[in-house]
Amino acid sequence: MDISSKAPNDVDIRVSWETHKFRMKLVNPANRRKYHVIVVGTGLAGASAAATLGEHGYNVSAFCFQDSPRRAHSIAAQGGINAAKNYQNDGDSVWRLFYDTVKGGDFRAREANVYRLAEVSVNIIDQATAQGVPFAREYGGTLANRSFGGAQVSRTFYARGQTGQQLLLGAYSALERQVQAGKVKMYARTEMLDLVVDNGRAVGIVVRNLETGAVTTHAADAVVLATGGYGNVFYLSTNAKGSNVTATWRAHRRGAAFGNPCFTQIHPTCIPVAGSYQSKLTLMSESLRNDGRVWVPKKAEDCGKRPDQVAEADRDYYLERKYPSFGNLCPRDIASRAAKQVCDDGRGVGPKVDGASRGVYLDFADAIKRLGKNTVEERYGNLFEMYERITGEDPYAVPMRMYPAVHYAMGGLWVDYNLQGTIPGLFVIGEANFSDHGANRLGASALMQGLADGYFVLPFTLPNYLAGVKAGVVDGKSAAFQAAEIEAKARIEKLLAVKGKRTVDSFHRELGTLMWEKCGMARTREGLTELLGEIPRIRAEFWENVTVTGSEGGLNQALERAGRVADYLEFAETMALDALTREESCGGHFREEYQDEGEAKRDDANFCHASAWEFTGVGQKPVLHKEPLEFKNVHLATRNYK
Amino acid sequence: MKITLQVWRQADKSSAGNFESYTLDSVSEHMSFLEMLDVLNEELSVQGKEPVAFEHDCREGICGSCGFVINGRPHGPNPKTTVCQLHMRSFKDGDQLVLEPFRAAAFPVIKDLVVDRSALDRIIQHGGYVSVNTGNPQDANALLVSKDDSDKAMDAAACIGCGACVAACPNASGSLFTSAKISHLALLPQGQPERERRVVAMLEQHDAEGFGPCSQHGECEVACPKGIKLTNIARMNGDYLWAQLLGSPRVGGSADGG
Amino acid sequence: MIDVGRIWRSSAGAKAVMAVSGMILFGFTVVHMLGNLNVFLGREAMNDYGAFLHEVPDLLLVTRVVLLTALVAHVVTNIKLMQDSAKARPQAYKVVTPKGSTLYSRTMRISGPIVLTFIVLHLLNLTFHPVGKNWLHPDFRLQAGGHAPDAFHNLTTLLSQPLWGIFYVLANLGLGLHLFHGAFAMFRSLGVSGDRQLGSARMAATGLAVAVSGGNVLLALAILVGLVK
Repeated sequence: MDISSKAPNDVDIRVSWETHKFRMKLVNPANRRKYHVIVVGTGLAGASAAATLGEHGYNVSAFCFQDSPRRAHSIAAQGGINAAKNYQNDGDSVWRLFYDTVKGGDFRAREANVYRLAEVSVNIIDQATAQGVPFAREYGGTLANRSFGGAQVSRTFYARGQTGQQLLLGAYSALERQVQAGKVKMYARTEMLDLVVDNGRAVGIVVRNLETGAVTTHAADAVVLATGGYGNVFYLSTNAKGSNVTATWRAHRRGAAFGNPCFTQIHPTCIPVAGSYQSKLTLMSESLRNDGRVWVPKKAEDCGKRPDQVAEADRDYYLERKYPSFGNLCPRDIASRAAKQVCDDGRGVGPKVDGASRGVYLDFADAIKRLGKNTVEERYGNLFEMYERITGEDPYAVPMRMYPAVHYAMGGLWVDYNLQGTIPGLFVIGEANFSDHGANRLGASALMQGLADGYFVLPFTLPNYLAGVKAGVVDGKSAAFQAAEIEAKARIEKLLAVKGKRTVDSFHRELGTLMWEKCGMARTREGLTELLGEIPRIRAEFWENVTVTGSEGGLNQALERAGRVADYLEFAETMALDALTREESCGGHFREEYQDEGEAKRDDANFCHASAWEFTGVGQKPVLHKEPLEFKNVHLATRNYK
Repeated sequence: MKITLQVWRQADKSSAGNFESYTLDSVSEHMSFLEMLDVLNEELSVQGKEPVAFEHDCREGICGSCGFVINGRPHGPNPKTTVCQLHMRSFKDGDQLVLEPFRAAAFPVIKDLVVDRSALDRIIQHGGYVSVNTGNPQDANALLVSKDDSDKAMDAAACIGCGACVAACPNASGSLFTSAKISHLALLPQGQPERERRVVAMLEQHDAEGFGPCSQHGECEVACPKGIKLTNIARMNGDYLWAQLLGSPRVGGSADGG
Repeated sequence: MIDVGRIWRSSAGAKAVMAVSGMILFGFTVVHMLGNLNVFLGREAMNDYGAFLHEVPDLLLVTRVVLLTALVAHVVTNIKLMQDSAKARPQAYKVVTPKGSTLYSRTMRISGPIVLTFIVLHLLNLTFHPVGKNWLHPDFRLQAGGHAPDAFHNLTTLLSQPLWGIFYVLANLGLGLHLFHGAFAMFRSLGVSGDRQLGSARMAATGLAVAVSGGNVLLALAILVGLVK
């Protein structure tokens, strides 16, 4: 398996993308219409890629499982998008964003990719603004910025608390423009079930029309996956209910290496679980930490008291205490683990679920005193409203309660500098790939990466691949297509035929609870080993005892979920194995054995690499390939946010 | 608490539907409305019955997937709240709730409470964009936009495309949705070059999809989970009349997509 | 060329036709109501006013043509709009819980036909007199030596009959409801989107709607109970 990065390491990193772009082959404008590209997923990455490829003249088929491309989960991102514009003249630069991202990712990302990301970040803001994305502005008419978790400069652009929504609507509008122009054919309510690989090339996909139930294949000269992350392996996460690993996992089964699956991000500020029926967790933008102060009572016996009855002296503002220079704005993984520690100490607040209070206060009393209620409302009004709707508590009067939740997958399909996976012709962009965030993603960088990949990277690197293959030679009726279609149909029939006693959700919940306990915020060798024993058992029971009502024809939401959970039951094993194999702590991956008084302790001598797993069969141990990571520009150092 | 539901069940687009009654005995007030339906669906699945199909995805009020009508109100009784964010504490023990899909000719029922809202996408296809190719733009700060205009544009752009406005409107009009997108772009300098052709093409597509006319009842504004204002409809009407009566003679038809 | 047909077929265009024709008819009701107030000044004032209107026959004709055109446009366009909205929701809800709309807006389909019926009967009562007599009036007269009807006599003898009097009171209340929603909706239909401008325009229009309805109702009541005869 070839996992060479193909990054232009022979030149100064500051000109590496420029150099690479010049070296790549182009497709003549007259020939572009002869090529057909499939884009799966229409979030920021997929919509921007499909629209841009359409503008360039390629024929694109775009797929999403939602009823409209506008509903992809990018829409839920609240806080903002980073760009090295340095509009605030506070010392930001492409180099600093690059540096911050490599360091924030705990030195587990590929330098060249990160530099490119920082470089094109400025173009994204220009592009989005030109599309009419209503970013926040100053009275003088210029764009406003704020500082965001983990950054000491104000480089985050935002549109109230709905930045993801506005950026996605921008990309979606560009996509719909290409639909109208006839360059993109949109297939909504259509889910990818498998990747078709013929003669070693990715040449198509198998899909199910979720409205009619029809299973069909689509052929193309290249396949782009922009299918997001796998946070729902934990059942409870901030991801949308429909977010799933199926597309990337199926591509993995067909030969695409999976990169760093154990790198998941826990978001520190989510609304705590309220009961056993909980179906998902709601994230509250990290921007709240700009003005809110995080605390718990110093003494466990004060935890049952109303927050206003805990005297100032009896409160432990533990982030400010432990990390004086970053305070409440320290990176996500650190803030999350700190919350877990105080709750493990028995100092959590809020109602008890399963015997324990798991929550910390995020208090705006000081901010309201300092800025006035109006300013706080201007900045966070919609978030406060959302919190009140969900909890029934008024955050202007009572401190919010927060607890970490799974939020983002840094891991994903392994890709080279061209965003191509280990199967030629398979490109992976956005959260679905593993590339740019290393072991931890900085706040407001997900939107940046999705759009960078879709608008400014893939539209250069994909043609480089297409220029090397003959257009239109893919035979959509070949044996590979037929076999993949038959396999997909057989799997659906198998799911419907089990007719067991347990619901799909009950299996998903069981898997998720275990994953959260053993492979969540803190992991141990013992726990992971145990987990690796449990997953095959749950998977076996699933295939013996699951009940999927309805039939394969027509809309069948239980069947959709069953297919996704079946894939999570396979994926979880690789994820746990990756966590077990990486015997160090870095970023979001915290192994209790490897720590320095609670701080993650990296092992650069043995683990300064990206893990790329090769599938060998369900229940079989996958093969680990290591892509060594070199840090020539940002020197390896221990992260220190104290 | 105990909740009785009368739910519209319909197998597919071509079947006739009917109401079926379900009773849930132990609903927690902290559950979201959709979590309550999850519980019902788990029970139905275990009994081997088909669960109630309803659309949902983000469950945090932003994707616009969810939405059905509870006792005559799209997204239920609470202002500015999607049904995924509606919690059972808004109801009381013993309540009887009638759940119906959004009803409009332009929104055919696919199954149970799931409707086909692709008409909204087609309206956007007819001009709900700025025709600017990737990579063309100038520096973002080269064009100043007053904060007031930007804020108003954002107010309109906050629309989540859920279709509650259509469901609430006595005429099943999609004017609030259409005008929100038109207003968002009409309020910004970036939207000016295509302003006239956009309003004509989008509004005529709105009509072609079978949405009704706007009678200014104001039901949409109250039902909108994002607080989109009727003012947007006025702006759309004005822009449309301007474009047709005083604007460029070449206005109209569908935008060519550039 | 302005494509009138295309504008009329569009939902916003049709509503603009409703607003413009409605505004013309609304304006007429204001003038008409003010003219009616002459009744309170007595027979002479009322009949002089009526004779004055008939002094310039061309102006009267133009006014009537404009009003008739507006009325026809208003009614025909409304039929189209009602068909469009009926088609837009083929299946009704089991439960309907209005929250944002007003009584006036929801009753437009009742108040509209009431107003139309009233207009027709009112014209037959007091305006059309093909043979110097009016078959829908007990005692229709023309003014001595003129073409103009004896408005004061015709009006008072008609409205002092309880059935007609009560009908006129109710019809003018219906007209009030109709004008209320018109005052609320017509400016937005024509594109007034500024909150302040809309607020002022609406307040003025609503005031006029109250005046029209109130003035006419007072008049009819005054005749009905015999204060004016």
